[in-house]
Amino acid sequence: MNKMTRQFEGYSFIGLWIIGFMAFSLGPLLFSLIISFFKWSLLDKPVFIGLKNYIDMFKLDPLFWKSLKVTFTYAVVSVPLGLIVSLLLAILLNLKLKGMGIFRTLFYLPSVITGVAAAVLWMWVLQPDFGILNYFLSFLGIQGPDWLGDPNWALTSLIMMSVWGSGGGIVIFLAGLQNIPQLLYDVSSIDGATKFRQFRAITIPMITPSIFFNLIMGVIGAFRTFTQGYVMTNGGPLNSTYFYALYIYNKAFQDLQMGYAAALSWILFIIIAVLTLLVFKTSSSWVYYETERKG
Amino acid sequence: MLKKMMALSMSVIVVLTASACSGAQTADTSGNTDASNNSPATDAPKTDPEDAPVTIRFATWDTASSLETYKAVVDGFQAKYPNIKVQVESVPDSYEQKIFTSLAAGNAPDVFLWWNYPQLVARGAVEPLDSYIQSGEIDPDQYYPEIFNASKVNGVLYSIPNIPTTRAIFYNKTLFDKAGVPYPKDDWTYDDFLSAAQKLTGDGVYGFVTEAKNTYTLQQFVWTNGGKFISEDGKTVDGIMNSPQTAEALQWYADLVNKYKVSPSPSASTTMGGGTEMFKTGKVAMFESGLWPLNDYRKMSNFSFGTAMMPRKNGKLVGILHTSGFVVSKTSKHKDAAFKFAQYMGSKEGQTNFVKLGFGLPEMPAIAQDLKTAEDPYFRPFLEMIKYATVTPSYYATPEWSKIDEKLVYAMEATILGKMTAQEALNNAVKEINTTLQVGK
Repeated sequence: MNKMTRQFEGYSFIGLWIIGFMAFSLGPLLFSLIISFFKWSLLDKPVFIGLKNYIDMFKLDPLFWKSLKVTFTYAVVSVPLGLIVSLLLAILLNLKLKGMGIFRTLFYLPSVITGVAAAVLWMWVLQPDFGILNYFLSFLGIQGPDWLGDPNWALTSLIMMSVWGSGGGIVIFLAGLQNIPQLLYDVSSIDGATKFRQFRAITIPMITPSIFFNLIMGVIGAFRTFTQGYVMTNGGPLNSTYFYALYIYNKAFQDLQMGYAAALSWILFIIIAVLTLLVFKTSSSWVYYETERKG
Repeated sequence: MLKKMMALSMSVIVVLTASACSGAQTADTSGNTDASNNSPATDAPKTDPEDAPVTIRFATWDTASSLETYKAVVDGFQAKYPNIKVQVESVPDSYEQKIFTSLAAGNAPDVFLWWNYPQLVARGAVEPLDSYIQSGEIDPDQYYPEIFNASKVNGVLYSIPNIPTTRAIFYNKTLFDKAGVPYPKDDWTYDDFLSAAQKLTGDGVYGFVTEAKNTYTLQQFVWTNGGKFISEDGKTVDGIMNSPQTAEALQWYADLVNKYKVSPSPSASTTMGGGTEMFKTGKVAMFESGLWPLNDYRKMSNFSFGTAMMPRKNGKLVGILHTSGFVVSKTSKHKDAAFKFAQYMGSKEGQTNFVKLGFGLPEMPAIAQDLKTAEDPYFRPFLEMIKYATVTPSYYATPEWSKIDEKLVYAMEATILGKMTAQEALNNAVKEINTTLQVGK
């Protein structure tokens, strides 16, 4: 009886969440899996076509490959770059200087701005004729490119922009850095360790859990990139910023191919899941937890 | 270890929600619309709207700024039909997606504004209105024929037209005077246009502005040059989209950017707000557009501008119409009331209010006469252009147009960026279109 009551209490506490999860996450998830085996325009009856959506994707659809390539390129460059920049900034922001609070706020500020507003802001920064970036470059005697208009530069521009928004990562790193016991630095400096040696042998290992977290979130975020492509470039010029998520959206709501779009989403899900799993699998060899004993 | 477990389960949830986002769009649609089983209007029982009070829903993409006009028109309707209550829903953002999902969920508005009829007709989502022509409730003769015909798909009427617009040239008189260029006349030619654009370019001003991705706009130049994008039956693009006439028209349009340099690069014009904004700020001397910005320009003081017909090539001119109309949803439970409302919105009474709002042209000569539209020098070229809208836009040919258009947009962009010649780009497009149409079919 007592055990029953307690179980009931437990379930009723998480009940609301479970209902929400079933209705708004699990339900749609299963529905999209089922619909990925159908041809469905949203307006007429779904027609079962088996694996055809998946087969066509790999066999017939050059845009599937193109958008995959764009998204992978973006992820492969922007994620490590974002990690390095935010770690370096976090280290700078961890110095004990006057007015550091202001700098911390300033560097975090970009992450507070929502996607669309940031996208519009950057369109102006990158404007070729009177954008601020090309204006600064002109002082150095450099004629800046047509950032978003040149197919060779557009993706680079968006990667640049992604680094600007790495404030969230900075905060995590900053917290990680502040968790490192001062003791370790003191002891090592008695042993004659240089600053660089301390960074390599203490800071980096101690901060690996934060790197791990930021890496996972970065990979997931990069593969879901949508707003920049949708607002700033509309996938162009010449499909050079045609992100996978944008392609899913266009297939669903422009071409009314819901089944195909659902199939595309599941491929994205598998890609993200596999990559996340890979990072997790390798993590035991490079992530260190203080509370953990390595045998 | 516990920490790791926590982290693992958290990430799994993150991944799940991540992918659910894309799934969720298709999700709220379990209630399947069985549109095809609904009986057509002719068999539906005609309930007299005077008898039972009903409420119908109407959706528009117009924003709050024009809602007062809507309210005035709806009030006029309700004075006439006190038993039909109308609920106006303004959806300025992602309008089409919202209509699609509501149609799929079976709770679409009874009447809504639409433009791409073939897309909905092919899926049986909108009500044919021919029976109302037979019953005499719609009189086709009161409309301009070019505009009324645009409400038909395969000869069947699906909508009551709403303020259409043609496209014509806006030009900045001050900049023309400064460059010593005569104002455009009704019968001006491509050569006149180009030489004017060249003289007007300089000092941070462009003579003209092109749109890199707007294949709809491009059509008028293609038609004027004797080309087309797709066959009438919507089945063939080979030999049509890549015909020499079509390629020549695209090449000419792209040359305005690359060869003659009278138009800014696509991204430069995008950040400057496109033609509408650039014209306002005096950064471009001419641009072609629908009627939409006219009222804004009129309200500006010290802004001297004019409008002109599109230029002709070898004496030939084909213009383009932007049309939309009020359609009745197949799933509407009050089709007759819905039709009455659609009809009123598109009637002389209703349309006069919308024309006054300044976003479009009269759809019937009677309104044009009443409002003396032809005497208004700004309206006149737009009104004249109606007669020249003699070719049906490509999207009428096939409900699959968006997929074809995507390849065409790529070709247009590649040509304007100078990566390929128009002929190469269009040949590529034709090759890709044939595979694209098979994907997921």
